[in-house]
Amino acid sequence: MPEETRATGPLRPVELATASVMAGVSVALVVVGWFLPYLGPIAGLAVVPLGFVAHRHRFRALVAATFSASLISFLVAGTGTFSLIVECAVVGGLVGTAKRRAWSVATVVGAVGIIAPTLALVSVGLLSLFATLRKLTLEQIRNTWQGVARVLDVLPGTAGVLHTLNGFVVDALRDWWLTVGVTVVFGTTWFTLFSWLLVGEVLERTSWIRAVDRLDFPPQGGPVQPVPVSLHAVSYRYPGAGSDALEGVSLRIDPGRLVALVGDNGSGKSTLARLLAGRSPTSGRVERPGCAGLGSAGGTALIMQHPESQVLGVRVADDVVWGLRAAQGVDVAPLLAAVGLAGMDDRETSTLSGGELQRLAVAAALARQPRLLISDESTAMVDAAGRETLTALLAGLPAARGMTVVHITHRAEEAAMADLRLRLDGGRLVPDAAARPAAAAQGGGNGRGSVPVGKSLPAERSGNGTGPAPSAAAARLEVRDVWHTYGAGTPWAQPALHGVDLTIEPGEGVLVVGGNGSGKSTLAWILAGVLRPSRGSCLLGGETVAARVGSVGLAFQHARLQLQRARVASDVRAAGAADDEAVKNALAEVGLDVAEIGERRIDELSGGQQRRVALAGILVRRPSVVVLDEPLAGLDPAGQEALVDVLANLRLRDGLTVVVISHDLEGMSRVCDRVVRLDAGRVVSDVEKRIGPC
Amino acid sequence: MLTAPSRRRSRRSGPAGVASAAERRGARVTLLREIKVDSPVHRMWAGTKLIAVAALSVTVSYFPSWGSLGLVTCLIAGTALVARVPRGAWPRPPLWFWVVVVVSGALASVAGGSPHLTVGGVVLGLGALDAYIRFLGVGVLLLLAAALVGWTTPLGEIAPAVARLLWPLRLVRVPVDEMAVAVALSVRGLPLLVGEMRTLVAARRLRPPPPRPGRSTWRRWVEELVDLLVAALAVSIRRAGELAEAITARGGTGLIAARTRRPGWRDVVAILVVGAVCAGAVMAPA
Repeated sequence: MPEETRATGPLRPVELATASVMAGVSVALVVVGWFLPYLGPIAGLAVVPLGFVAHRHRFRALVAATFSASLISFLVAGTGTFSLIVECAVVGGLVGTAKRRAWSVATVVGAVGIIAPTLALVSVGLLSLFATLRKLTLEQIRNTWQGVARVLDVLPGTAGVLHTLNGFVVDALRDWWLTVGVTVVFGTTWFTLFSWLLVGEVLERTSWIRAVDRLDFPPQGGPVQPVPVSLHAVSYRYPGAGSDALEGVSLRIDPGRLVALVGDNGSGKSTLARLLAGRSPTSGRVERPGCAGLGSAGGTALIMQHPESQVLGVRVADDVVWGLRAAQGVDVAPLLAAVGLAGMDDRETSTLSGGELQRLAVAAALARQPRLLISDESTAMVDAAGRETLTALLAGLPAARGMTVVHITHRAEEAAMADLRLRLDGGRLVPDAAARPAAAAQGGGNGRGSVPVGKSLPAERSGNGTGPAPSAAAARLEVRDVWHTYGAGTPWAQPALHGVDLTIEPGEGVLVVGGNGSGKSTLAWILAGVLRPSRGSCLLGGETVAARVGSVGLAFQHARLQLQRARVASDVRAAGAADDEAVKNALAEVGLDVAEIGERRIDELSGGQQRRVALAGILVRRPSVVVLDEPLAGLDPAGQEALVDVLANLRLRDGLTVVVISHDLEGMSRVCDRVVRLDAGRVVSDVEKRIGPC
Repeated sequence: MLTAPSRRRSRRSGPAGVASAAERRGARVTLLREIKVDSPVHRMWAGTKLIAVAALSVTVSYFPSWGSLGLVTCLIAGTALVARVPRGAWPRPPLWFWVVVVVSGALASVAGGSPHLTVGGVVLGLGALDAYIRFLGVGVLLLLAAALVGWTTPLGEIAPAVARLLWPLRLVRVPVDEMAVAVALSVRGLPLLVGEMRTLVAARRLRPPPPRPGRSTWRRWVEELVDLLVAALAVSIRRAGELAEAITARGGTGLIAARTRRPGWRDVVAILVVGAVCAGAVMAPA
């Protein structure tokens, strides 16, 4: 179903974003198909992302996507990939538009009737123009054919067939324009038919995933003056929602204050952030002297949760000025110095850590000298050290620059230094009391022993015949003198691991911690055998893991990429479950009920649920070791709690070996009793700490 | 083998760029990723390099003679030398590539064409071999010319250069800036995309292997392909949503780069050299 789009004018952010992202996907597909000929047909799949753009958005977005994709693909591999992109854009554009506008079969056939001969004419025209290259290519084809014919001629009894074929080839090459024309017309027609089916299938399965820009609200008039702002009995309900996201909220924020807004996921804190940024409430009044002016000079700035996706510039300095009008003179260096990124102007943003990216986002906000800065969970996905720096930076802004700062967080301790502390619960403001101190469930060590292990598991699991019987087969996981360098021998060589030795006994729970660039994710990939180290080996029970991929399970941080079927049960089944019973058991092991969740679509699940389903898909293969990369990142306290329960159970009751890779020490003390610290690709400490039995 | 970090270590750069690497047997092709050294070629305006590649592509395709190929080869080699492209950067094609090249060459030689050469009773047609090598040369040269641009240009400079190059189109109301923003955002997203693709492939490898090819299983292959495509698209759609919010939070589009390099004397020299090579290629005897 198409998104509502404005008919004319410049592209809106969501159109521009979709066009750029899909352009990237189509380039990736075409390039893979180009350089790996045995995967050649993959290139044709580029019709899908481009068709998607045409289906969701107007023609102008498709033009932008095509331009971007064709330029980049030309830079990667020249005219070959360039023309593939153009072809896919034409066919994808046709299919996407036809589906969006619900064209009749006759219209589609008519369109193909125009497009296919046009493409044929263009091909023949280009070949006429580049006559020498054409002759060279045709000669090439003829020579290859004749070579084949000469070789085959040795075989007895082929003379007749070869003669006929030869006549055919000679004719086809002589009337090349006819051959090319007919081939292009038929090829395009078949390709359109194929795309129609493929794009249709993919569009159907992604139809209810939306790229929503929740900040795209109509601009208000008047001068830009976001503070002081008062909310009077404000409520907000999302279109189509059954209940209010915010209910009767009244508050006042004065200039120059540091306000902390605490609440769990779903408490309405992000909705409140959007109201402060200028969205109109469904009922109640928001009063401010002027308009909020989101992104305008002297207006409101918003820092969001995901570090990677809010950084728009390729280099650090580019990101600071991104989106400014040329007229505004901005001195980048002092802004970077103010957020502790001095001298990093020319670094590529893709090399920064999460904490650095968030501070860069603050610098980009400061470039607009906002009067109101809203940080919507900007600390949630940053490691402990980065979080501390970032919180201190935000807290200092009111004093240093006279700005008003609203810091939204689910961590109660970050609210400590605020002038005003607000707590949201179920869409309502509740008194912020020390009465609910550790509500933000940090898992803080042993104190959490009060939560009974296995409380979220169905009782029936324990009586199950399959029993714990550590599928383990008690195998020891050994990492022996592992070195790894990405791109070894090229100018882009990037060393990741320097001689790591690690032995993990069956049933152990190991937490591997390290900062950005410590090599911890590389180690995770090597442990699971999906990456062969440059030197050294990784053995499970004496056998190379890389030779038996799947014997060690690996759960990625990005769980969605691990879930490859449309629905939960079918995904776990495809992951290797023998039968429905196995699916049921695997889901039960991660605290999910197949009856309740089995037929749900993957994309309807929350992030925490997706991670648990991915884990079920791993457990179903009965690995003896499971490696989890950042299992808690981006989950709310309830989701974290549930996942930690599951892991603690798997390890302590079922005897599974659990290796958790994390940038943080937090939250895993119930699962892991051994902490291995990595720094710059080396193990710097390896500590056993016997915590009390859970 | 591990490369000694001290010797070859480049400035820390993440897994950016499009690298299509068939890592087995050490085959590797890395494209669209800057080699971080300082050289006159690096200091050139990105637009000049784009023009040069386009001009060379057209010339070589139009006049694929030995003389023209020789001139362009010299230009590319010279540029690579000036740009201090280390040996390790050049594409290392996998074994199958060489096998295909040799087998096709052998077939072409068997086919004949004058002049002929008789080696041990087998008549080889050097004419066909000549055509074959030129044909192959055009493809390789075009790829290397494009690769040189990627190796010597910071990714962030491409979109601003495109905006400047296409400036005249603004007069006929083509939304040049919008298209340049799209290019800039696509380029920014490439490292994230490459990471996602690697994860997707690894995640697939961790699952049971796909069915062996056969008549009854092609349907499952298609299903599998659609599954992977949907997973990739689902992640991309969500990323597009977050990207859109980030753009809106900045108050819409505007500048895309902090400092834009402008064409200078170096670029004039480069254009003159490229122009001379193209002219030479046109006039070279067939």
